[in-house]
Parts: sequence; structure tokens; C-alpha cells
Amino acid sequence: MLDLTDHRPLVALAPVIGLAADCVSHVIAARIIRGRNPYPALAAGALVGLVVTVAMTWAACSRDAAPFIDTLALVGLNIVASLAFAFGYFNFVNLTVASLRIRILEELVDSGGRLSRAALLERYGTSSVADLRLSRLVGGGHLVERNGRLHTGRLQFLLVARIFDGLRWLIFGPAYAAALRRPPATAPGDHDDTP
Amino acid sequence: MSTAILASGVFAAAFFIHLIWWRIALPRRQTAALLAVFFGVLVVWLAVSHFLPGRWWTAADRWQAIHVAVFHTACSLAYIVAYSALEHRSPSMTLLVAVADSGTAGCSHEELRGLLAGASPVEVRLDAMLHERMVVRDGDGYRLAPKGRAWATMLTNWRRLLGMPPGG
Repeated sequence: MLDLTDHRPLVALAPVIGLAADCVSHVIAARIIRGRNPYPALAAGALVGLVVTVAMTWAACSRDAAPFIDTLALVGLNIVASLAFAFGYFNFVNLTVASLRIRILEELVDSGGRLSRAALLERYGTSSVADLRLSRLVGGGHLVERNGRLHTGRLQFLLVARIFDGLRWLIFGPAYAAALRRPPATAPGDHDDTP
Repeated sequence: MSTAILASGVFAAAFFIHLIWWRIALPRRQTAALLAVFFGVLVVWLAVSHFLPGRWWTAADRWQAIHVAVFHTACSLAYIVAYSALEHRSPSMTLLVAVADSGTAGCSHEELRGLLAGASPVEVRLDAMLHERMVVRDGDGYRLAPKGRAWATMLTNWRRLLGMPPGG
């Protein structure tokens, strides 16, 4: 039998319930805030998920009369779990927005299931990929154009790139990390299992 | 407090094993190996908590074990998702870092296009999709495999639910 006076299930499952709240509120927000930029709706969903997680954890700990330090530790633990779930969900949604592989798969679906290699390379040639990425980076303010040359703009994405370089150094070691700094097609181990 | 320490400890143990393994030899199927390490460590810890209870490093009860499992699953999935971006740098990140490394001189559009010229991101993706059996070779082209069709259908429907335009 479920013991309704025991609030530990609520504390343990708060990040999962927060993830559900994130997904539902994201879908609602995305349908309200229509437009090309999907990120405000994603941020709204993540915020709702985080608030639900923290509120549930705090309320359950208060009802169980848990010591303040334990409440703080459990809230902190669930904040990390909630942010981790939100990050995973963000990446899933981002696949539908930015993934070249998903775009290629959709082109194949629209073409009846088959396309020639030449047609695919022509549609997604290096210049079109570079132009699309440059246009997005300039549009997002991450690159700024001055006198026909591009300079660093907003630092968020660059900071992420630098953090990832540090993680590569830690995980793969200095030599392998240096090889990974080359352009994408020449990087070793390029066979990730996500689309 | 003990739940937070246990959850952090189990995740740190899995990460440490991953780090040692990767420094010794890189697995061929890295994502599968990561899933095996992170969820293998969790399963072993849950089994030890069940069969050898009462130790300081095992779960005190069922709900503490579930709480640790939820935290570990969230962090492991987030790390594995982030790992695919560690394996190779995306074209956008390549462009951003090149501009940053150029200092005050900056880069022209042509220089940045040239940076990706030797690397065809499309060919890299097509090779990866062949490797993962999302597409199959069909003469001079590619044919959609059932796995690729399933991914495309799921993500396209999700995007339509959100009312978003095509990506890529």
C-alpha cells in the first residue's frame, strides 16, 4: 500500500515530474510563441520544469519536517537532475531544428525514399552549409560583420566551444584533442550514434 | 544529505571508469560503451544495495535507491548527449573558434568557407548514417532504411506539433 504520509516518493520523483512539466509547457509555449526562433519556448519550458521540481521537493521536505541542511541538499540534487533532464530534452528538440542528418532524412522521405549522391551533395554542398551556419551565427549576434570581415560577437557559444575543448583534453588526452580541433570531416572517431 | 553524497559518488565512479577506459583505448562504438559504463555502474550499485544492505555506501531504503537512480539517469543521459558534440566539432563551432583565434583581424566570408572546403559535412553525415543503418547505398545514391524513416517520422511529427519550420 502507498503510504500517503511518506513524502519521499515525491522528493525522489520530483525531477521526472518536472521533466513532464517541461515538455507540456514547452509544447504550449511553442504554439503560443510562433516564429523561427525556437529557444524562448524551450527556455520557458525548462524554467517551468525547474520551478515544479524545486517547489515539490521543498514542499515534501517541509511536510516531512526534514532538517534544513537535508532540505537544501535534496533541493540542490533535484535542481541538478532537473537541469540535466532539461538539457537532454533541449538536445532532442534541437535535433529537429539544427541537425543536418535529420534534414537529409526528411529530404529522402520527401523524394520517395531515394536520392542520388550527386543531388544530395549539390543541395547540401560545403558552401551552402557554411553560408547557412554563417547566416545563423551573424543573425544570432555570435559573429559581427565590420568592413567585410567577421569578428567575435556574443560570447556564449564561444565559451561553450572553449569548455568543450577543455573536456576533450581531459577525456581524450592532449594529442587526440588536438586532432579533434581540425575541421569536422578530418576529425578522428567521427561515428557518433545520435542522428 | 546522504542521498546527495551517494548520488554524486555513484556518478563520479561511473565517470572515473569512463575516463580510465578512454585514456587506455578508445572504444569503437563510443555511445554504446558510454551507456554500458554509466548504466552498468548504476545496476551494480543497486544490486549491491539490495543484496548487501547496511553499508555506508549503499542505499538505506527503496526510495533513496530510486532517488539516486533518477539523478544518475538524468546526469548520464545529459553527459552522453553532450558527448556526441565532444567527438567532433560542429561546423558552427569550427567557424566561431576560427574567428576568435584570428584576433582583431577577423575573417572574411571566403576564408571561413575555405575552412570547411576540405571537409564536407554532408559526406561525413552520410557516412555516419550508413554506419548506423539509417540509409543504405542504392547504386549511385542512398535509400532510406526503416531506422532512418522511423527517426525522420518521429522528429518531423514532433516539430509539427511545436509548429516549427524544417531545420538543418
